Amino acid sequence: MSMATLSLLLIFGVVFDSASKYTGGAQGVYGIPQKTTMWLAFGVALLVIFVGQFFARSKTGLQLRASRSSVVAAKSLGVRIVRLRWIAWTLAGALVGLGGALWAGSAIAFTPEEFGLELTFSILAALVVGGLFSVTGTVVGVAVLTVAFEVTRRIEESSGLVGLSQIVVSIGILVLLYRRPRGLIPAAELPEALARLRPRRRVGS
Amino acid sequence: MSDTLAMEGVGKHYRGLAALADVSLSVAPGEVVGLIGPNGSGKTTLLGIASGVLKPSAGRVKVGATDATGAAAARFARLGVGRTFQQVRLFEGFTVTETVALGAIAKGLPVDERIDDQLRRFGLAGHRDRLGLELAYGLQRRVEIARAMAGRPRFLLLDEPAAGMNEAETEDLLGALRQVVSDSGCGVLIVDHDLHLILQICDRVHVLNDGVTLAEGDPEAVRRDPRVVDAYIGTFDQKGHH
Repeated sequence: MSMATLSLLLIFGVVFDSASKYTGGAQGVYGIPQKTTMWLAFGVALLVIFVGQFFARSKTGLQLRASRSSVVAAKSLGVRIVRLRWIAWTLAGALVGLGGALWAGSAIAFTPEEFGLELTFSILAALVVGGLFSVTGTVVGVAVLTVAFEVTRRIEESSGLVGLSQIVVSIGILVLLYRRPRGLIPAAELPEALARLRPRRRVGS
Repeated sequence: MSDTLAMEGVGKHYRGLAALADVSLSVAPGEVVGLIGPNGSGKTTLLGIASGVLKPSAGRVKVGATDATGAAAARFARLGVGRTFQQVRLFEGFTVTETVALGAIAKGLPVDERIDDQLRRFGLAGHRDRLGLELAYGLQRRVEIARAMAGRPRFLLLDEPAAGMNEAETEDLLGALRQVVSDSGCGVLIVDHDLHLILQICDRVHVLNDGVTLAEGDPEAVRRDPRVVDAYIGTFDQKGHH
């Protein structure tokens, strides 16, 4: 499914580039009303985090997490893995589409090319840095990479060292993955992680 | 009988090499059948075929009146076949309660007090909030059985359920399994090297050797069968211990 998704990205990149009547082709789309404010983006981000957390804890999310851990065991319990992964894929696509709409509302103009491999790998890098196994990890990964890129980009601009931000952030990711291969937040969601820091409550009641 | 888990003339070949050939075995509701044999005799392969994890190269598998030959594992589960694995397969990041509840959720059953019943039955109530993979190996095996039972199977397939357990733990497990059979009425197929366990709990025993049936029948007759003693039991004393 991952390979098919990546292929879809490349295929639709070409399709949107060619459909210049609707997408503007290489010239892109411009004159978009600037409706996205920081607070709107923040509100939608909170909503998406809530949806992600809710989905991960839902019966569907629980079965998907199980199938990620052991496909054979999940199937042997009756989990319909393909069907559930389609649901997750569609939901993820819808949420990313929402993000795209917000982003478009903050840009004066954009071209189909901007939604290509560079953006995809930036998102994947954020997931890998934060941790692939939790919504909390995703949020942390995005925050860490955004701050890292912004700081190094400013140093790059003031020093004139072109490409500094990419080099520094790439090395940072490599070092981080060497030290923490499962990302900054390996598995637990923030509420569970905080709960484990508290004294263990009585069990077996 | 129509309400049995039945394998008829089942075979499994890997690139021309026969792992199983013409094996027929059935499990009726409320019956406990033991499957024994030396390493590499095809026991786990047969369990894989009986649960849809492996597809047979020959023969048929019926779950009740349904011919499930070649169906996917999830279909077998929904027809009422639950199983555990030789290598424990618990889910990463899942608590014991979540793991057992998933057995019900995956089959669209409600998560109700029956989950608590399974936890208590298998001595897991005191570990319910712990991560399954953090438990001792013997407890992990119990979690796997409780998870399978939460799906209310008609047939339960256990692959070496007592591995990693000491004698007292094995006795506890036997008690829990007997209770499971009497309460749920499900048929159980057990693969184990512990002949003591097999002889104690099973109504019938099926012996495999080199992928073919060597003997089958009631436990005592099988234990005295010279072919079985020669191929397998020779390494055990007369009480069935190592």
